[in-house]
Amino acid sequence: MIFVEIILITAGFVCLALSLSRHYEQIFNKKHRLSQKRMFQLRYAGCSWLALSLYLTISVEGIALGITYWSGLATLVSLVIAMLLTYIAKD
Amino acid sequence: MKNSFRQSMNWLHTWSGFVFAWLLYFIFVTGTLGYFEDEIDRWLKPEMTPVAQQIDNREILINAEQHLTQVADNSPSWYISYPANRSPFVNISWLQLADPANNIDKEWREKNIDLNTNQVVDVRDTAGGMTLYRLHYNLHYIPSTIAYIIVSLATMFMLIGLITGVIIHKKIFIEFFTFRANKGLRSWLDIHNIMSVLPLPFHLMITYSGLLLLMSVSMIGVINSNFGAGKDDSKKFYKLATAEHSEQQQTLIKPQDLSADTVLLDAQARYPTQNISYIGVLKRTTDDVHYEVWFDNHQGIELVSHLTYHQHEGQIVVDISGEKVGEAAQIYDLLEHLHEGLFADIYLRWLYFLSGLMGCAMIATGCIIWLNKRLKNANPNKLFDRTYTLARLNIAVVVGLPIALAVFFYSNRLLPIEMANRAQWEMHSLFISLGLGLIICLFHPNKHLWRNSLWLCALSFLILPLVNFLTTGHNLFSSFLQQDWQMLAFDLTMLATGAASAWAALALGQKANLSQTGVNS
Repeated sequence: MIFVEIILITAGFVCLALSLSRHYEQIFNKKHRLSQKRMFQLRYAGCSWLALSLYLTISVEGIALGITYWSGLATLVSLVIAMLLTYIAKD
Repeated sequence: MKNSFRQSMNWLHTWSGFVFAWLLYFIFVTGTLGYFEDEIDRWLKPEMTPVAQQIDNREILINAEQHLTQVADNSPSWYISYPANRSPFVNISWLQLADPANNIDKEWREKNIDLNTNQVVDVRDTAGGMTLYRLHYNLHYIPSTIAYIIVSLATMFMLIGLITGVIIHKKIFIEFFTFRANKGLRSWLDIHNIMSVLPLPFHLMITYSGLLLLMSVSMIGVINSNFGAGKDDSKKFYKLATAEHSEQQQTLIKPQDLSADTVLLDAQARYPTQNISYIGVLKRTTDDVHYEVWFDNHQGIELVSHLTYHQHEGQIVVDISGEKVGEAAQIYDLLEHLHEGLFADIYLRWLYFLSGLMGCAMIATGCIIWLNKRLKNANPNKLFDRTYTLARLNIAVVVGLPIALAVFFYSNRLLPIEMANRAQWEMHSLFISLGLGLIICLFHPNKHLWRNSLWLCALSFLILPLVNFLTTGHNLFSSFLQQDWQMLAFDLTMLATGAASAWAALALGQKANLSQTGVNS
């Protein structure tokens, strides 16, 4: 379950990160600017992935343990993504 | 009076953080270690033998009771602990009665039983993982009530710091993933933000639940005004507040057959899927002997935590503990369990640990930001310039505390086994190291202090597994082969901590120079 969870949360946070122009331009090399439409799509997708992952943890572990697990995994995944974004940008 | 709300909150965030920063760092570091209390305890008691294979509960019971009869026949309370997930040992413990004539205190004693030889093992006298984690609310050397008041106050300021932090962080979503490296103060602010915002659910939970756990100290006025201020009055409050639903059921045990063995069989029959963690024999010196059976917390959130068997009106009955009666007590329980994380499996436990470490980094980077903003206007040529002195003392705390912890672990291996008050001296060595660190940093020149401290920290942790091997024979290979996972994990974590510190020393090596314009500017 944890493996699937990490994949879902990663998908969610990657979409949300890309929905911010700062990180979109880091990844896509300033060639494309983030359009309003694309931003909404990415935000919607990101939130959906995160909501799905939260639903999964709660359905497997119950509400208390589910929210706890989800928060912990979200912290880990977002930390890794934040660090990767910094060091990818350097290249 | 500041011009805007946000400016006021900024002021409040800076100064509420400042007041208890170092104490909160101490609390967070020792508290975070507490999530691995059992594992640290195992390392601190290398003589214990972990149980790797399947065991027969009844056989262990017979053997344990024999040992207890030999050493603790006049004790009113016995406990036999079974191998549990994080504590794979068989231990016996008993309440030793006071004997003023022979200078013996009333205290709990514990011994480990080696299943290979069925003998009691002589374990070194150590402060243990429990004392280490309790530092985070008991502090040390001061009466516990005063410690609770100080920690409670610090926690309140922490909560203010968290909430004002969220308020003043205008771009909290936009900068969620942002870390701009090599940009001096901006970089430190980014890291401080990441360490605060990403684990925000944990920080809010741990701070609020921490306040709740100390509520009988901070909200003493409420208890006193409702129940009275005497000791009996507070006991009355405690009994009412912690009242549990308890279901009493008949058992088929005959009164003359009541023993730990029959109780064990009955408990296993009722809950065949649950692992038993403790069996207790209480009120042994009376006619009304009570038997307790406790279940391993790790087996999910099951309302039954323990059973109590005793005689009632000629029959043997079992009291099955349920949840608390009061709704407020149930909420307290929920937050207490979240805070302590005893229910967590190994993955969630590491996530708790990670969030705790990020909290330590949050506080440390907050200190560094406060200092860096003021070092610009300080005089680098004067050793005891106010800001530079604080900056050096900051290093003594931020890097000095991990070093002091390493010293504590070294003392466990290096102090003579037969030394009097050995456990107290392990703790003394932690605080002596901390004190020495403060004094050394006070007089050390600004230049290279970060680098030197980080290298000292790296070396202390990297060499520890070697000292473990030289003094006890335990090493990475033998731990792996014997499936001694706690020992292995501890040694590996020490190496990882040392490596992280070495990386920091190298990364900061070229840039950090306190005598120029502060750290990393």
